[in-house]
Amino acid sequence: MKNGLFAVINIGASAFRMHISEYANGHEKLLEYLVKPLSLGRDTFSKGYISLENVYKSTKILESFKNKIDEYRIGKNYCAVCTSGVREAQNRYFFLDHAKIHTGLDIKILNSYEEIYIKFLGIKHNIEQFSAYEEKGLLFANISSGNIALSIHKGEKIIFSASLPYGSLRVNEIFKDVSVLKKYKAYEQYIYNMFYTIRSSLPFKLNLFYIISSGSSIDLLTDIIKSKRDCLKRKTLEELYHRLRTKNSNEIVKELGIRSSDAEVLLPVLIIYLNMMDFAGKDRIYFSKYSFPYILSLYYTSNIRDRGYNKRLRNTFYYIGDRYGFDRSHAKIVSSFSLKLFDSLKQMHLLKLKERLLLEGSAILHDIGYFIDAEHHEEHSYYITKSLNYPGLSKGDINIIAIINFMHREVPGRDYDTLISSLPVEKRLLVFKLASLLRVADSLDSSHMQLIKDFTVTVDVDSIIIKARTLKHPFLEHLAFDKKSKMFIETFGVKIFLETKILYE
Amino acid sequence: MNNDYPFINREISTLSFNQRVLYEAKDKDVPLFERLKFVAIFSSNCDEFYMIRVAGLKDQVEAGYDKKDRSGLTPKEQLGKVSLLAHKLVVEQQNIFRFLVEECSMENVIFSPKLEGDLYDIAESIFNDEILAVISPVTLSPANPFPFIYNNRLTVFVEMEREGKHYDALVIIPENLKRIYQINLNGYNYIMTIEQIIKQFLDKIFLGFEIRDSYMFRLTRNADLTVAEEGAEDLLKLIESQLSKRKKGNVVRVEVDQEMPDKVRNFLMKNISFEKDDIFVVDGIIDLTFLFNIKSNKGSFYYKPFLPKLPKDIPLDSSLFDRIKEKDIILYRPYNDFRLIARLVELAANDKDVLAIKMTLYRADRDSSIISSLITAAGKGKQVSIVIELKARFDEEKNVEWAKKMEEAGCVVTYGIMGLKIHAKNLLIVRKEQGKIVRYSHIATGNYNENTARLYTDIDYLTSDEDVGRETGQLFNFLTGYTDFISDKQRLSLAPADLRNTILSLIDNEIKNAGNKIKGKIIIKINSLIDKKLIVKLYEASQAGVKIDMIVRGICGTTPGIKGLSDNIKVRSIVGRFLEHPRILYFYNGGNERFFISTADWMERNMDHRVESLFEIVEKTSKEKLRKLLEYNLRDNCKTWELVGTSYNKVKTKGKRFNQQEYLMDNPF
Repeated sequence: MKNGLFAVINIGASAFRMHISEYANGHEKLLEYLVKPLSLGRDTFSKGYISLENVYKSTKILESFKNKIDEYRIGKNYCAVCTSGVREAQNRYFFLDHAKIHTGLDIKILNSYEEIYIKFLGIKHNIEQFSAYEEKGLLFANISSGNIALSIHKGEKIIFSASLPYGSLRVNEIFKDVSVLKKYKAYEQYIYNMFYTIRSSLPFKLNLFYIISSGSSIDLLTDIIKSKRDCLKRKTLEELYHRLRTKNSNEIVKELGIRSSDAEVLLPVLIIYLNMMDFAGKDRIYFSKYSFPYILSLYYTSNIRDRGYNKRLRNTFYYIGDRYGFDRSHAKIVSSFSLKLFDSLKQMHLLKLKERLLLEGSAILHDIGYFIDAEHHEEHSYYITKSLNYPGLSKGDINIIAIINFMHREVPGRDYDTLISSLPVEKRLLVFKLASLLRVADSLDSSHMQLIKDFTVTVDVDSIIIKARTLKHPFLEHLAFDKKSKMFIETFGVKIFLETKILYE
Repeated sequence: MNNDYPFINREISTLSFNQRVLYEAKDKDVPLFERLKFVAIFSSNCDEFYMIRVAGLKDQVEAGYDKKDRSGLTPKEQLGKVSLLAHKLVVEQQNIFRFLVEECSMENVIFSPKLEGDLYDIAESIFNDEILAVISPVTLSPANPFPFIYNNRLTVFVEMEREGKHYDALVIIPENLKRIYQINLNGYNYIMTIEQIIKQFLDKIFLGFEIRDSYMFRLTRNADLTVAEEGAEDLLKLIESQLSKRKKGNVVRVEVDQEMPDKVRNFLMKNISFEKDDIFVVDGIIDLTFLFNIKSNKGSFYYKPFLPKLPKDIPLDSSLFDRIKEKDIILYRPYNDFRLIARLVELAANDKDVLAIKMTLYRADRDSSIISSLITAAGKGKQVSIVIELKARFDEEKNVEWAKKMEEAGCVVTYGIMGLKIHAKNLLIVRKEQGKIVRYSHIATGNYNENTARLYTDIDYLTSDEDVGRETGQLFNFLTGYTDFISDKQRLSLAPADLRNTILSLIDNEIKNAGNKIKGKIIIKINSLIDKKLIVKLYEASQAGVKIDMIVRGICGTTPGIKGLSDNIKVRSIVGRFLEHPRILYFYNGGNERFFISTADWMERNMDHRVESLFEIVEKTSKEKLRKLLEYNLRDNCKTWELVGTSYNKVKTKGKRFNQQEYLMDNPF
């Protein structure tokens, strides 16, 4: 949206927020920003559901937000999302239904990876040198009430990405019954454990140059510390932590003049940041003051774009492949062949750029299962891929890549119905189309010797001919092609042939 | 905080202000009937003072509270001093009134004439037609116990006889009867009070009795409406239920005729339950507030009428919005016409591009055109939000009435925040112009009341500044419960959040500058100054060399001119035709002068228990106008009193006479 009004409602674990913007030629101007504290997270993280009382209170708040939408005559130009406080509640659908009936608002549950991605995009938009930081090595963290969204970027790829259940309010809830004098020790242990887990899932020691953070935790710290710069120093955080660590919330409120809800989460926030600096080996944290609702507004009005997305995704896939000891050369050439087929046969398959990316992903990752064993490597590729998390790639898309990886290998008599039955109908055909292309591409380097360097595609009325030039006669490639092209014929209803010519002939 | 600073007692200062009001009645330059009005204002102020302030002190004494206040007095000591001063002032009041009665008689206006001849006949007709049927006299006896007498009801105590036996009776004068009857007869304007008429015809009330004597008295009761809001699900209903209680509080004052003998006083003391110290013996007419209602056709009896004006470049049609966008508008009531604001609301109500109108309402007048416009706006589908302060003292009933009316019309009416009185005066109009949102903000120091707008001086400020619109929008979101936090304030400070701290920082800045040999200067125009932290800071500023000029109309707790402490503080009070009401602050700020307007007087109740605003004016022309206004105030040598030590002296007119109110009437903004 380049012009007009847009509203964002963000139902967080500790507060409801509304952000109303006016866009003029893509430039945003804030009209209203509303905050109503209500700790749904306290219910969800301790009991597992949102209490009825809080469902009613939430509806009241949403009614007032709806009045704002009506006041500005915004109509349907809004998005309403909820995060961990609702997402993890067992009665989340009741909550949404109740809100919808009383307010008419359509509220979406944002999954944790969408959440990280949107926050990441927002901060990238805010900090000019972000790409340069990424290149050198950057830890991005957003600490909210429910979760910590963490991702590690280096050289245009994502080394690590996760949404971890260590948000400040959640941690506070877990240890609420521990005595004040010992509570900080409990926090320290718990959070140390988080970073230990991250450390052990990384293959080598990382050299990180920057830590960038955002979120309500940053707002809290900057309000207390009143830093004139755009970074928080370790020394300052340490001093603050040591001053407050044995104090209870009331004492912290009195000493710092902050709200009691903020005082409750201050110690976990400090410990997380101090551990983060230890982990990264850095003594300062750069921050962005962009609020999440603001970022949501920019995102849903398409006023922020991720220009390096494809490249970063590709690099990350190769990085993952390396971690599983894959045959990089094979993956590269299969990827190249898959995309060539995709582009050449566009008129036939009618798929779009997004699907092209999924194909590329599966082309790179299809053989990572060899890391476990060769015999059933496609099964291992499937579940390894399914377990991946990538900001910006939905679980649905990851699932499709995983399924294509499973389907890339021709196993006579194998039935895919169970696997694809969970997919929506329109996605079922998609996986067959992409798997067909991948099979053909994979067969063209069946020997892993890259005998076929390149090929052309000729499309006739009733057949498709792939003409390849080779260094040596590709016996294995022809054999594999005959087997693997069956799915192509069954999916598209057209025969496909391979003709090879040795270069010296 | 150091407790060694001198503070003038609040109650004494209040009476001192009331004295200055009374002395306007002595000013020969003030027209005759206007002087009478000042006598009436004095009475009204004293009534309120006793109902609230003295009642509060009595409660403290009764509760056994005997801590000294910051002026070093216990509640009992304060009551003693207050009583002494109040008695003295009442005597002065009656003396002044008698003098004015003389002056009136020379103009053929006769108060309490002898009822004979035609006058007798007229009085008799009035009594028979209007009074007799309505009053309920009570003959006191064991069978007829002493009746309850409501707050501020004039009552006639009658001593009478029948068949050699003595009887006492009461005639409580009903509220709904007229207090005075003005009769034009043979070129004279006669003013009879109702009690005069009743006393004349007591024998018609008590048939068969011989009337021996009759005396007037009036009770003043505790009328402080302390509303416990916690758990009050419906504040509206609670206020309504409390209103009736106001009439029945403990007695805090009893005004009696000078002729009333001791035995009657003792009898009343026994039956009504009050102390001897509560008695005010009045040598004259009790309750002179009726002087508000006397009328005459003679122009010379009144101030010269004047028509408030508007700057020539301000249109009254829908191009007013464009005019505001062009440049901020600053107005000064009553010299500028407040009807511009009413007109703005009317335009907004009928403008198809207006999406929403929001307003705070503290004291509205009965026939408010603004409220009618808001009701119209709601009917036309605009979002109309009103934040009503139900607890505006003595206006609760009116505000309850308006609240219900507006709710019925579809306005969203909220009652502010539990435990805080909403005293901020803001209006916000949200308009969509060529697809973009423009917010028009009105910030004022006075209420949205077309009647008081003709009597009080106040600032009105109109702007379409984006930041101001956003901050004013946030304020309304906060007041209506849509948000719990207001952040990112640039132009607006609010009580109880940060208003006092903002003022303290501004003063600290002057102190710092003075310390660095940069000129430090502050000019403050407010109505009351009693906040301890602010007073102490002013003393500190004076000690640091900051020059402080204060125009404090009413209560002032500072003692200026003390060597080494407040040498640099000067305090003035202006009491004139119009009630000085705005709060304007000026800080030299090292040459980058800053001007503010505010709704907050410098009292703890404003800083800690009310929602108040402090707004910075940055537009050049508006700042210039405020500068001039403050200069006029400091130049005034007609209506100014100067606080010297703990007493006020009237500033003598030396050289050219300058009355800032008269000047502004001819030279409004």
